[in-house]
Amino acid sequence: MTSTVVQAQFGQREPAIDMQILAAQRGDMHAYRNLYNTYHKKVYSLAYRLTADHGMAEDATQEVFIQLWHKLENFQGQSQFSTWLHAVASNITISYMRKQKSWLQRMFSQEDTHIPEQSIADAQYSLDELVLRLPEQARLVFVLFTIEGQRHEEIANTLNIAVGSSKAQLYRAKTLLQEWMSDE
Amino acid sequence: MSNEHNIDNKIQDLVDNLPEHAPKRDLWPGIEHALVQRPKRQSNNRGLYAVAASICFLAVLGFLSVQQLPMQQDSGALALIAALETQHKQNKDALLVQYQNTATVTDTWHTQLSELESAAEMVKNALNEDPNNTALLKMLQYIHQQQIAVIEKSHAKANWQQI
Repeated sequence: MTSTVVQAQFGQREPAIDMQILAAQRGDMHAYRNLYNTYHKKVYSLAYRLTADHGMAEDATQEVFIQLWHKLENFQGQSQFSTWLHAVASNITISYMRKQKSWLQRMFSQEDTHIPEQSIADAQYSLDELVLRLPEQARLVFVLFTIEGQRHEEIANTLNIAVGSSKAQLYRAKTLLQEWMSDE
Repeated sequence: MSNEHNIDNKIQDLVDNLPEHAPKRDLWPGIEHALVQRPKRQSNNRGLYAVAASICFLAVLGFLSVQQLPMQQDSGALALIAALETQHKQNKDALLVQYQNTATVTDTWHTQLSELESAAEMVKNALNEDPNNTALLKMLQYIHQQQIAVIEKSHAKANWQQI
């Protein structure tokens, strides 16, 4: 299910993209810019859903493409570039979030649930908007599991939490979303 | 259960149709600036590992060479001496066969040859102790040349006298 979501979002492998990747791996900045043009909205969307903040998402996207330039040679073509890029982007974004937020802020934000005052029945809230209102930990797990297709083991590793916590946060996210959506 | 399943489906439908967001500002100039500041390291860690491996390899090779060099040089020099000796013996024997029925001017050439042979033996013994001593090697070659010269000159004079 989840891998098809990513495939649907990022499309199938294209020879033109493969050529751009090869050229960028060899240091061709023009090819790298073409890759940026192709994928920066996808990366930004992911960063935005993870950070729930446009400014942070922009900064994180820049950080992703700066680090990606150096990591690109690690891509061996065993998986789809988009899948690999998503994994790299989510890791870099979460690291970026950790650097930006103090431990205290994280503690507060984890419990800071923004429950919408209006229900989804009003059709004024898209899923994106509801996801952004989830508590941070629940949002991260929901985005990585449901949208990005990662396994709980991977998520637990990335977020440095237990697998059980990842499952619990997903359940929490779904419960909240269900609650907000069934308010109608 | 059914309600939960319905919610899951609904969420999945929404996930499948999630819109794509775009940043509000152009992010590329900042990325390009950072990349220019930190140019791509072609070698990266693999390059570092390769360099480290090369250094280690050269160090080990150098160590082994230093360990084995005197031995290799000694064996090489001894082989050279043996080859020179063999070649000289073949030349000398060939000449002696060539001149075996030829009269010589004097019988002292045997004595001269024998003295030169003794000298050659002494030098060879010295070379066995010090195979890389080029002065001794040149001395041996000189003695060999003298032996050949003694044989040739003594028999050449005889040939001329016969004519």
